[in-house]
Amino acid sequence: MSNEALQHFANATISADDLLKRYKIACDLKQSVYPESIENAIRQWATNIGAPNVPIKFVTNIEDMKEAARTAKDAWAAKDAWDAWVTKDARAAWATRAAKDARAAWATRAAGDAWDAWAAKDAWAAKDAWAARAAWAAKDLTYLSTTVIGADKDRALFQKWLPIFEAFEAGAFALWIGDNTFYVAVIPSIVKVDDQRRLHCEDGPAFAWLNDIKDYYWHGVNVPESWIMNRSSLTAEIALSQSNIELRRAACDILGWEAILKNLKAITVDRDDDPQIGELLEAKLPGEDRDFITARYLRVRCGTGRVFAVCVPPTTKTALDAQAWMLGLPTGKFLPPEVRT
Amino acid sequence: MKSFKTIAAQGEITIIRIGDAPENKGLPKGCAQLPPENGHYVIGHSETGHHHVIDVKGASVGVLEKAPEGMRILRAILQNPTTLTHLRDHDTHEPIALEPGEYEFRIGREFDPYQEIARRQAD
Repeated sequence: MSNEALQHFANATISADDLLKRYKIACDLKQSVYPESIENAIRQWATNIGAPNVPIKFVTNIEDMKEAARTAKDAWAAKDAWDAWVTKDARAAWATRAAKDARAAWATRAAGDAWDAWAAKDAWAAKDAWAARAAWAAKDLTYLSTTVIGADKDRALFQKWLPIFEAFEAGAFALWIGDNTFYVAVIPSIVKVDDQRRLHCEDGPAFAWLNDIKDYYWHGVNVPESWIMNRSSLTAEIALSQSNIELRRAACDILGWEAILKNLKAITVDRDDDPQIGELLEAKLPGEDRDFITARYLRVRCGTGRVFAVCVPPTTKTALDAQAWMLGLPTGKFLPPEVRT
Repeated sequence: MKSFKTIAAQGEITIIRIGDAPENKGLPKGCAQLPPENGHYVIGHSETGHHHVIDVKGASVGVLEKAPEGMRILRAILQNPTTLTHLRDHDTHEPIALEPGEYEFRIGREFDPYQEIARRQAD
């Protein structure tokens, strides 16, 4: 988006519908990034909220983000919560129908997917503690931008928050507010999704942000890079030994069930007529001290239609036995659910 | 929204209706009261935050202290109609309606062939 177009937008009387159209375009995250425009807009907004002349620093990598998050967190600890300080007057605007419409549009576009990707990192906090801290301290410009859409009848509020909208249109994505510095990160360079808008890419990162964040997803599941970029490194043994069932399913999906069964030379022990009861398979897994470990898996379809392999004790005789064991019940007491979702 | 009479499943959670809510409203013996989280009782906990939850209003939920290896079994007494909801925006398990009554929730287990132990299924 050109500066000229932004200027026109700033000065024109514009309807909430038009704002929403522009917002939807920005939410596709296809806009060119204009660092100078972003800096000018953020500086103007900083002035509007009583922080003139604050330095603006661009976050370009994970280390920068750590610093930004740490600074923002320290700043918050020293004063009233940022939300109360800056956004008190914006909250009414966020609650308007127009702003809600905008966020509904946001949720179906790349901006929403991108934040989903980042939010997923939060769940990996045990491995990446920095991500949880960064996620906590960052301000989402895609959200804050809806303030102007909800404030179209409140000119003062509109003018105060317009620079945030402009910054988003110019490619800004996240903001960290420190006492003496505002940090800004631009939009992700890659956001790829499947037909259900789950993060997904079969031959590269589904999410790339800053200089050094590349996340790999298989239909919404965050998977190791090697599973996508070096397919031959993912073996049936690795797939079936994943302790997380979603990762195991994703790994099996990537490899393909036939490949897994063939690779492990799995044999069918029992197959129930009901695919939601499933098929009991036996496979030989590589062991540490022994040549192999005999394992039995129930291959079963869940209520969402996806197929999982759940390991059960090697003494399990039938698919029905496996279902009962999974619920801690004797087979005679197991009843198939009336509904599965 | 799905409904059922006796037994239903939402992902790895199996829901068994025991009967009407007891007069004294108390959880059965051997149950430890489950603390609510953010206005919900988390019935099925997810490593990725995609919990299966019910609303706290009119509900009392406890965890069975003695359960088979790897199992997590919850008992709930619901005074109001409520819903078991899966907090995920993709591959979401459809909500299941729960009428007032006493329920058991069994969270599925799986076997670790390397450690030779049973453990709770995670998603």
